[in-house]
Amino acid sequence: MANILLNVLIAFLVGSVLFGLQRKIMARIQMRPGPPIIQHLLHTLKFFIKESTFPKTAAMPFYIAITAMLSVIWVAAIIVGPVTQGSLLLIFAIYAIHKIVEHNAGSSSGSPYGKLSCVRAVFSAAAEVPLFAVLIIIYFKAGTMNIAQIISYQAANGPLIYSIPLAAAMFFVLILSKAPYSPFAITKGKDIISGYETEHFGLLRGYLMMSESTAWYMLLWVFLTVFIGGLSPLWYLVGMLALSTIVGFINATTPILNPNHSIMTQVSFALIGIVGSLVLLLY
Amino acid sequence: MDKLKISSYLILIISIAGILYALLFNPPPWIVYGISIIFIPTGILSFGLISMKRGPKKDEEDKNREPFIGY
Amino acid sequence: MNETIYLLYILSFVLGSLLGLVLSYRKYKAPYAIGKIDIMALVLAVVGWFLVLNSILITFIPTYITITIGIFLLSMVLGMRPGYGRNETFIGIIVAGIIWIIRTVIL
Repeated sequence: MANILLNVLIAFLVGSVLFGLQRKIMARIQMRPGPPIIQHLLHTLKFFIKESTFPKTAAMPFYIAITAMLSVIWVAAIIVGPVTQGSLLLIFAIYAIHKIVEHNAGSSSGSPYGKLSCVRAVFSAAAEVPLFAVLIIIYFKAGTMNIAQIISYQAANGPLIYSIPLAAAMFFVLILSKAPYSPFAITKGKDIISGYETEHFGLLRGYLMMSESTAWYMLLWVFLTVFIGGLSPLWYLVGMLALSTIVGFINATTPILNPNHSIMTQVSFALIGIVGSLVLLLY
Repeated sequence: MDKLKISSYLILIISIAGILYALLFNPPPWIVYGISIIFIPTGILSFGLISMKRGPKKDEEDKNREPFIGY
Repeated sequence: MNETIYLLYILSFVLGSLLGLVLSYRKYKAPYAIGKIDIMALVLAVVGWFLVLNSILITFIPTYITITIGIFLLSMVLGMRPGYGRNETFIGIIVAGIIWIIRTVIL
């Protein structure tokens, strides 16, 4: 239990600082100073002491419970990942439930922006095709979907990023879709104000931000563990910094794509990745 | 104290009790996972509901609880 | 480096950044200055980066304590008001890096 609490706290703090670093990098690329690196963390904590209003048109206990649901699934991801190193299929399920939570958070508020985001979240479930393909390709290569066994496979045979690079690229596109301001971030794009979080004010917004920081840390953790292998915490930190920096560079230089184009791009990447990986596996 | 504050204090106490039980008494792993999955999020939520600032009392009569008649 | 020490480092980073932010907002009144190097921030950055990269040279204190203090000091400079603290951090990294290179590669 102490292990779980430690990992939850680490995930929240590191995820928030990484989000702040990403904003800082995006700002520097745009030739402005940008906010301090801990800005995301400070905003998350600030929301807990602000006055929160609950809209009249919200579907009441569900509207609050759905924010707790997001935290539930990412705490479960922390248990599946760093604590017990369980099965990747559970991580896939958690990612799928995250989309469901985005959908329900949008539809449980009364706002039309929330409803638009709800529909876009269902739409962006097309991004889960590459995730499932990545799992299948890892299974073909390593013979297992259990994280602990994948780590020992990589200790014996070298990192999977060298043997199945296209699967790593597809997983990277998936991580990119969860970053703020990314080209695939259609559920939270500014054209629909804040998407599914538009009507979750104050405390609930802070809670959603907290869970999203944890989600970011966990996605990077899964990428580093499954494609590079068991690392010491220092190398995890270096890897997460590198990934966040790359994501920051991509986010600063690309626009948010229109939902249709976002899905088309992700499915095209998935097609190239799947066909390419199968060709590489067979030959 | 209104209903929300009382219920959130109650849930916070239950969550902290559950987490302390899992920390101190070493139950079997699946109980620990269950407790952490349920009680860590509800603990954070109830803590937030307690620390959330309420509006000033004098604005209370301006916030009429009018019936919802649809759009 | 186990999880508890990792958490200690991260908490030290966050608290240092917070303190650096608050203090630098009291110290600097202008939004974004170019070129001037603050001596106190420079000292903090050099000492902080030195403690992080070269803690082994200090033998009478356990390394995790010196690294924690080092992270606290370097994050005070890193988390300063946006636009400040860049040059000091850069100089701190270079000085500590040179000492690290001398320590590990040459000797």
